[in-house]
Amino acid sequence: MTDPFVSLKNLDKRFPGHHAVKDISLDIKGGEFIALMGPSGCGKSTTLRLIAGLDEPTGGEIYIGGRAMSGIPAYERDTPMVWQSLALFPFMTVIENVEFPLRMKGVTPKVRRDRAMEWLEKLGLGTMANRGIAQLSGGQRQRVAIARSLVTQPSVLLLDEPLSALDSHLRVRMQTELSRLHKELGITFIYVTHAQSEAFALADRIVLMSEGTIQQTGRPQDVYREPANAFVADFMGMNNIVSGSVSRSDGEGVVIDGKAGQFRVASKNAARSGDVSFVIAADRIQIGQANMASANSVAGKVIGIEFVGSTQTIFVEADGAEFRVQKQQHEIEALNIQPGSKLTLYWQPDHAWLLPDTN
Amino acid sequence: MSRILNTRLSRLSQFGFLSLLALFIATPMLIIVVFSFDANRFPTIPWGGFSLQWHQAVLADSMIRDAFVNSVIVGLGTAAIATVLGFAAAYIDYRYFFRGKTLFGLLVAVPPAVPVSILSMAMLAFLSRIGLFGSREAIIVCHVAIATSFAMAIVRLRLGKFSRDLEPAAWNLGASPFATIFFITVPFCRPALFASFFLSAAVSFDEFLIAWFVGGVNETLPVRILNLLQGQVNPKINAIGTMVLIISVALVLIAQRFVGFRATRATSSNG
Repeated sequence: MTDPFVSLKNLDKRFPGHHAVKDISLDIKGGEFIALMGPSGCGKSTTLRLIAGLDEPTGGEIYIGGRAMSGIPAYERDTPMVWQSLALFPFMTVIENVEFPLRMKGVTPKVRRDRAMEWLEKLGLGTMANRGIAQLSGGQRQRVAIARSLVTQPSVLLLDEPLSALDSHLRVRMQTELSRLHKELGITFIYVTHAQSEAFALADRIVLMSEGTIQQTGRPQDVYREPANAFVADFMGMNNIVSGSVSRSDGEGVVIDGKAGQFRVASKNAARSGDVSFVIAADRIQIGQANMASANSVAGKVIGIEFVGSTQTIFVEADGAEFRVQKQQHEIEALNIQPGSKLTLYWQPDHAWLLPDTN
Repeated sequence: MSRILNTRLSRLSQFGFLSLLALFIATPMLIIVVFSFDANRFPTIPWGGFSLQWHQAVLADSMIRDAFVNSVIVGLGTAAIATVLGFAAAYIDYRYFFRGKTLFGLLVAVPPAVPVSILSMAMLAFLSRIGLFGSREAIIVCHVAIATSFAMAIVRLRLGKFSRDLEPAAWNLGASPFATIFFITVPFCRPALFASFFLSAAVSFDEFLIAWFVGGVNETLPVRILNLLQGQVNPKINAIGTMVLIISVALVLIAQRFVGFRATRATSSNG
């Protein structure tokens, strides 16, 4: 499918005293796995609820499969959703929950029983069909919720932070499961999350939102390496943002005068002048000896080391600015870095990224 | 050592005090039950021997039988209507936010708080003006006004455990708002609806003053009892009292069972 399957055109939603979604437009291809992400309150869940028809937009239009959705109530849309709370019906058994959407569509008892059973087996719940919801573990409930959403064979599945209630071990397993389902079914998944790891692991494309607007859309690695603005760079976590002013630019990029020194950025974006910011990812910074002279380097002092499993984050203070450097644990040990150590940080000009719309 | 002794003493005295209190409440009722089986015409000690004659006399009394039928009809009618209205009121309170919601809640809750004699007179005046006075329907209408408050309270408590995502989830899965109430909301409230039904029936079955004011010639059982008492001291009173007591206690126990039983199960399934 080349046409967008789900299309948001100038979508806008105001609640009393709160402008949740501000005039956003987005095209989602059929079969795409797209993740809407951003901090809480950024409008990602509201956008999902608008697509499902659970809230009415105050402006703009949603097209699903080419059909305008305004005026079509939630129960006539084919947009099942997996809820953060799962929203399983507590007084129904597992199979009754999965049968429910078929029952609402008027499918005969025999057929809907078989189809529900088929889906339960597909998700490894075949033996649980007649259990009560209360008798299931968190992971099993999650599967019931997914089965219930997919049993009508929709062409788009909405997921609202579906894994946030699971522990990290289970979360990774469910991610694999979701990824498998998406490949098998070939339908569009629209996935809302605040967790970067989930979005990066699952999505073909991520849409980063903040305060009701889309900040950047793109493949996860592109958004991570080439953030559109300081918000995105910051949200991605392990990015250092350095500000300065352009002193000259040539065919290979720009040279920027910053507080901590002079830096060269191999800019793929247009030639720039004036005040700019660039980002350098924490894992792209190299560590050298103190007083080592190099282009693109800053001298600084280690002010802290944070242990995060196999990698460590070193916090370095250099001329009043703080840099974060991410390294493998064995590298840190080999360099014998302690809080208070003096060292030089450097990086290659083409690993830095000039923010397109600074200020 | 002394701490254990203290705890024991404290437990014992608590238990003793509560037993005394329960005894104080229960004794008059027990006396009625005991003497309803007494062969003596007047409740006196010593006991005149076991006899079912007063119970038989009650069952043979056509006025009492009519009053019992009235009570049952009024009780069932009240229970059915009050449960439906109580659910509707509780659902509106749960689901919607609107101006005057506090006032709405107050209006539903207030009837049991109004002194019954005042309520009865007001209802009498009102019903005779609209020509409904002196019928069983009149008693039902008035009992509904009181029982709905209880029904709403019970259902609202249950709806407090109804996740706000469940109804939208049902819409999302293709259920119209009407189908959602029918297939999701009502089944979720079912235990509370049963409890409301039985409690409303009990409220109506026990109610005397309103029934006496607005019922006219349609006597309910409590009204019949008073009329019997006003005539002469009749040993049948004890027998009726026993029957009414058993029915009322049974209704309340059933109602309680639905509320209590489901409350614990719901909490465990919410996790």
